[in-house]
Amino acid sequence: MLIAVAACARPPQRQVRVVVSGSGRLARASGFVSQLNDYQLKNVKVVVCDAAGNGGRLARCASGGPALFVTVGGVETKTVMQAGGGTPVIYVGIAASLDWGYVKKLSRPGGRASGVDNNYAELSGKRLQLLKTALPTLDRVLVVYQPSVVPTPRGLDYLRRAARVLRVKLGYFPVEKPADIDALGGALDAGGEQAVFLMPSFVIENSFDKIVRAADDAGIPVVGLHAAQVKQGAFLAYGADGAAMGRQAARMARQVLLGYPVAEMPVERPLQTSFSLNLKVARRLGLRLEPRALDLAQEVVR
Amino acid sequence: MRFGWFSRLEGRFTLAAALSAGVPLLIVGAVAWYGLSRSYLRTAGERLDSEAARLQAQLDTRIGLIAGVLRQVLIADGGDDWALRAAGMQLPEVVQLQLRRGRKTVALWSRFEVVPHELEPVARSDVAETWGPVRPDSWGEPQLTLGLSDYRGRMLDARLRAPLLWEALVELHQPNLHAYLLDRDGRRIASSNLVEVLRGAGVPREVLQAAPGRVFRFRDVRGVEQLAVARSVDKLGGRLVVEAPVAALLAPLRTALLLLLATVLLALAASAWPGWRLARAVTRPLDELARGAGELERGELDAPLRASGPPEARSAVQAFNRMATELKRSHQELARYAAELEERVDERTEALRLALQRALEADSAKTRFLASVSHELRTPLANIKGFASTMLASDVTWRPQEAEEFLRIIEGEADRMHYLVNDLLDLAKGGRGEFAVSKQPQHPARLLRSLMERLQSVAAGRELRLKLDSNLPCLQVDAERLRSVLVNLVENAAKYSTAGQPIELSVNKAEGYLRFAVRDYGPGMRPETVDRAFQPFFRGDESTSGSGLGLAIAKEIIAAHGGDIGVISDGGGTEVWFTLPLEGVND
Repeated sequence: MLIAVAACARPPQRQVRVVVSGSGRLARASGFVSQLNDYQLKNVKVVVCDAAGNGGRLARCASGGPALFVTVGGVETKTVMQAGGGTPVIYVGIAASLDWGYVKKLSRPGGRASGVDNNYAELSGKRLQLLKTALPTLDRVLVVYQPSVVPTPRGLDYLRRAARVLRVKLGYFPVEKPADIDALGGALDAGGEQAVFLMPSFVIENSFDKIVRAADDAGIPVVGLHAAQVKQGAFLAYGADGAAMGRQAARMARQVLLGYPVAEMPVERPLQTSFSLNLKVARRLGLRLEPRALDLAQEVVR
Repeated sequence: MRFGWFSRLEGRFTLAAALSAGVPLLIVGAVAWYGLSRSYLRTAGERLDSEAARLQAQLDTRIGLIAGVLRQVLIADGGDDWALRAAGMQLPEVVQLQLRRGRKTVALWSRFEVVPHELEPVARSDVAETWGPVRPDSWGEPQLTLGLSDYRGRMLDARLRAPLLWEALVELHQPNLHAYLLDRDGRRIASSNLVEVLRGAGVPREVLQAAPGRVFRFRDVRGVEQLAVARSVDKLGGRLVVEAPVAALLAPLRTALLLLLATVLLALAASAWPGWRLARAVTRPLDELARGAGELERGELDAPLRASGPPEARSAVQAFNRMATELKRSHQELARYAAELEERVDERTEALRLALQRALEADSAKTRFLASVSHELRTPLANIKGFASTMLASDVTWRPQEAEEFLRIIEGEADRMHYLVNDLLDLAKGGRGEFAVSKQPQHPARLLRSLMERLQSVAAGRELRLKLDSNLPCLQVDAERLRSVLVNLVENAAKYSTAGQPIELSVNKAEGYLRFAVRDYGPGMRPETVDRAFQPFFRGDESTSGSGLGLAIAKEIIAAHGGDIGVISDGGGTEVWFTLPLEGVND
């Protein structure tokens, strides 16, 4: 009888919806899903909603009333927050959390969103420093960035301060939509740029392959944001791995699902920041790599 | 009544049956639960301690590794910062490194900064390895400070992300376990739950005061009971704590507990139901008997009670039914007896009343009889004495004719007394059943013709009509007595009718007897006097002459002949009739 009562009293299944803007951020979603499933939470169903670069589809992904939204970047978080409602949001790797306005304080967000800040804006200068370490002769870099995204000003600020210290000249290539990438080849063909430096942006991340092809065509390396991009053709990256951030966010999501208030859940920084190098790209492009830089890398694609 | 059902037999019996089955199970279950839970928690404590020891060893190893890698920087100091960079990149915990010679900083490296600021010195020249205070960074993460020095005066200061020490360890081997690292001030600096570290969650006093290596229980800030063990981390001066909720540790027993509870409930139900049925089988006949007794008391028991339950109860109900049937039959018989008795009493009362009335009447009749006899005898005696005294008077000389007249009167009065005394004797004989008649064959017509002259005489001038059936048979009668009856009846008819009215004398033949009747057409008798007509000395009219013995003697005479006599008076006259049986006489 008690067993029957317990069965009747079983709570309804709760949905955790992972909102993804495009393929460039699927690694974060897969890391999250894998880790959350490992927790074996009862009555929890994880659904990945991939908008595949479609804005309307992204809006639909952000609608409805799941128990928890998990967003894998800034644009996803922005779409979900603008959709309204009281559903808590755990984000997986947005840059400059405070600048978005969704978090009042890193140790106590105070709203319905918290998550893992990827530190990509703060690491922009460090990435340029590591690029300079690997390619000591480098003195000119083309920065591909999206002016309209929130972390861009902070990231460019860090980048410019580093460039001054490192004596590197920065060129700028702004994009707002994927079609803008088409002009990248022409900009590189104009000559003088020694590397393409990517800033955090969903348009840039989702157009990564096109950027790599344009840079390859121009014979210059691409500096990415994280190790996965190095595996996909970037020469160098320094930042938190997307899948690792997904796993980290899964732990936070588990606590929210167990009842911990998201407003009280501190924003976390990535547990690991890795330096990756792609020797195949270096060889293909004939780059003069500082050998000791290999001692600094946690991952080398040979 | 609130607990009325429990005060009944089936309530108490059901409860007793349920308790007799459930209480032992509950006791056994409680003892088993107590023993098993203690055993489970003892085993769980050992596992916690084992896990804590494993984590402590890995943590010590990790701390040793970090110190070892960083010490290599001092050893490999070649005048540039490549070794510093490599060490920093190799160790994810490292946030910033600073290489000094004495007080002079010779190299700086930061994981995040391009141009880092100098660190506050931790390393001391006289101490090879110094773990300094824990400092929070701008994100609220606690950072360990480490200082290393060598004999050449080179020193290295480092800031390490404390929470990552935990990430460097392997995952906890068991679910539900929770482990964290405390610094020497009792603050959480690493945990399997990073939120605790970032939010600076407090640590219960029991944890801070627990003896290393000893398993203990406490309630955390949420009130959840935890089983925990603490281990010292000597280099950091803090302690490693591994804990698990007691409820989660006992979760494997929960199914057994639920099964036990279900078994207890089933046992309660399984015992209570037959207990209730058994008790009800006893109480239902008792209720039925009580109801039947009540109805029997009120006289409303119409149908026999329904027998149910065990044989003893059925026997009791059946016995009650038999008793009720017997009582009902006795009651009916008693009622019938009562009715009969009442009827008999009424009859006897009526008989007594009649007897009393007769006795009173007899007494009255006797009084009247004595008065009448005295009167009837005194009158002729007075006449006899008077005339005799008159004749014997000495001063008077009576002539012979006068003397003869006097003597005739005296003789007549003597005859009158003689007849009266004879009548009284006849009446007395009749009352004793000694009235003797001398029956001789007589023809009624001849007897009446011989009597006509006298009948005409007593009819006193009234017309006497004779109505005789033809072919009247002879009778066995005492002719003299029958004549006196007829004379008496005609004399009465003449006495109670007025002059000019006829008197009818009829003789009719009937089956087995002859019916004689004398009828007058006078005023008739009052109804209440008809029945008394044959009483001695009764006279319908006290003013008339006569002794009142005629009809009484006539009744005796007719009765002595075996016949009946009666009076019919209908207001238009009176008919006195009598019958005489026809017995063995041939005409």
